[in-house]
Amino acid sequence: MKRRARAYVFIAVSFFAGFYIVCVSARAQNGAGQVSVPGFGKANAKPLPPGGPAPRTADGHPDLSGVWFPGKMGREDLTAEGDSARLQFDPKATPEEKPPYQPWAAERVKKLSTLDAEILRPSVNCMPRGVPGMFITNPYPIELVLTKAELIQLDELNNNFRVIPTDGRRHTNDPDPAFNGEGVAHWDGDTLVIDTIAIDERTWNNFVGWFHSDQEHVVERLTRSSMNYLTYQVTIEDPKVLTKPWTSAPRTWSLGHEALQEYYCTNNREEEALKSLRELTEAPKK
Amino acid sequence: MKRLLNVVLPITVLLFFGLSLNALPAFAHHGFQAEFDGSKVIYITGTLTKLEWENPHAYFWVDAKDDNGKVTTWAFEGASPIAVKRTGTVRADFTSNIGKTVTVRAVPGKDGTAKGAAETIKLPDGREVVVGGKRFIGEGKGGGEN
Repeated sequence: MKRRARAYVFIAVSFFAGFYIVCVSARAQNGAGQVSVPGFGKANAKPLPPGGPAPRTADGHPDLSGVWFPGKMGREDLTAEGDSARLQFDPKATPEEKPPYQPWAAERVKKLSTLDAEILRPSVNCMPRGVPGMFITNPYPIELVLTKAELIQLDELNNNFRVIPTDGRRHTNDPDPAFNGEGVAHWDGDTLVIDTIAIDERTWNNFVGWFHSDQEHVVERLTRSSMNYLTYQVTIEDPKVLTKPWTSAPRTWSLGHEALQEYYCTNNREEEALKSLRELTEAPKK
Repeated sequence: MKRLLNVVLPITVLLFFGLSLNALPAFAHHGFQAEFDGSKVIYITGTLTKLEWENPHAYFWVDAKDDNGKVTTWAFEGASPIAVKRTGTVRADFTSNIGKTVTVRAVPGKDGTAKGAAETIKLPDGREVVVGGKRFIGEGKGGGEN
């Protein structure tokens, strides 16, 4: 027993010592320690307080107007990356279901190589993220302007915008496809419900290949839960691609106090770099 | 001996895992997985030569000299200038230091060329400022794409 115990200890200590040497060696080669602690983890990533009740418009609706940042901080800070306060939702607290793909669609997404998925993703190829991407895959602020008859959404990312009538009108007959689709809205109590169809088939609903058909139907629910918070939830129906509707977790956006800036996606070298990498690493497709 | 086993072994295992978490490769930021190797961190010291301050990424170049005097031009990609600026790093942090020595913390490209996705840059005045998201640890979630 003693001999076996000694052997366990010897093996464990040797393993640890060996591993330590390998790690120290690797870090020395990389030059770790040459600079001070990097700037991460220093952020004041505190969520905003609720800030009191939501302001209301003259006709009694919650006023959705404001500059809104994804997450709970009401601002952007790269050093907070990985902190739950920077996220639209905490997947541990409110996990989202994976897209319920039909088998053929699941196969198509599965077949995407890692590089193809990167090259085709809208953040790399600078394509508009559309609806609902401008909410659920958008790390940049938006500005909402609620008027008596419309919700105007200004997106910093790619300087996009959409204007949605809020008078409860119906969709037009056979609207043309558009990245933001055709959106019409009505109030359901304190929640603005935006119903969108005719969404351009080039948009993705996530970063990893969730494509959609011309039959996609998106219902977004927006409410100002307090002065400082906007809650967004979306349901996606797509009878050609999904087996059932998919509903997101409630997403949180928070009130910022700075103006949107210009952001045109014009200078992305990633697409070219990724294509070169594909040529180097993947066999040509027949 | 039993006591030794009860005490030393758990401590050793804990230390091993503690060190593993600290040293093992982590995933790169999404959007970077294919192009950059988030499992490695590099520190490149050299002369800052050029800046492109445009969206969706700031790019900058550093000429680094090795022990034999051979100069390699490194190309670094940062986050979008908008996000970098909101984190407190401004264009002048680069433009006022062109021609001066800086040290860049980055993860390297996968293709073996002299490029990296940068996290921070240490400036001649001693400040280490953020130029990109966290590239070396963990993947952003819930819309953390830049």
